[in-house]
Amino acid sequence: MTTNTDHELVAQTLNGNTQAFSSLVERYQDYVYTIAVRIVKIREEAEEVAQDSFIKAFEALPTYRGEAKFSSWLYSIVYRKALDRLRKNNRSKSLELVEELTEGESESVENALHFLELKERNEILQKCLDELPEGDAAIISFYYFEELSVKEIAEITRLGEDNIKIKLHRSRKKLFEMLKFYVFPEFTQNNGRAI
Amino acid sequence: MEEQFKKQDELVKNLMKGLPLEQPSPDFTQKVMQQVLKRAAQNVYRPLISKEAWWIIAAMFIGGIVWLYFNPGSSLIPADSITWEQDITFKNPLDDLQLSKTAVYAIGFMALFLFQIPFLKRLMEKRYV
Repeated sequence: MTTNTDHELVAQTLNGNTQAFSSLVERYQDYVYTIAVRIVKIREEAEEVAQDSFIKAFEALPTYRGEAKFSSWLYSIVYRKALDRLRKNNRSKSLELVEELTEGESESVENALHFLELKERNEILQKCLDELPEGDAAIISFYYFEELSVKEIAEITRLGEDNIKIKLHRSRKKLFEMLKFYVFPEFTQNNGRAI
Repeated sequence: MEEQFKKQDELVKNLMKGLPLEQPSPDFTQKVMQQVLKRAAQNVYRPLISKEAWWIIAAMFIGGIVWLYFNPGSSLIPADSITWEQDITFKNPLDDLQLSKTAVYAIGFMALFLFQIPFLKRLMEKRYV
């Protein structure tokens, strides 16, 4: 069995073969849903956002010019749909400025994480991602999880490349601060809730 | 500082790579496709004049030509029922219209505004795709 490329499937869909679009949905549903979960944080809502995104993608398919990767084009739809949903529900988190971790602290967080089971490590990371502001969680996911370039992320989010770099830097700092909180609660609890 | 930055970058990358993909409900594709098929059915192009209507129009037209070919000089409408000698004069109702300068500007701006609509529409569509 040969697998069709995204562009072939898009062309087939545009020629009226809706089954081809179903292959695209199957191919990207987990990625789209993951991005939606990272932004809206609530799984049921994320599923609705992911569904709406695919429907929107189907309707807007004639406007897809094939210059960008299909996945990037699809992510830009999910990103906007998810942010729209949050705006509609009036839910959004803001990023509080955090202090830079010292090199020693950073290393001890890394060492402590090293000794955790993968499942436990993922649970902690998931909690930290939930605490990040929605847009920043998406940018971190695009950059580290999907391994997209800053340029691609700028196109998806329609933000400037410098802005993306700043957001990445701040989110990474925030992520480390939170990891410290979860890994060494005793260090951070004495000054109240640090995050 | 630079080294610490690189280390953190590397660690976040490794942590994120270890995260599994989230999975939607098992019937996700089916749900999406149900909606997609519904929309695809709605968007089927229906011409204003159907194929049958075009055939009837074509048949009447050809029929008319054929009828005229075999009956040259005849007419369905008696020619003498139409008289051309009637004096028809039109008077432009806007002849006496006097517009103030302000009204001319207002009409001008209105025209400009209408002219902008397609450009704005394209801009908005681009933004909300």
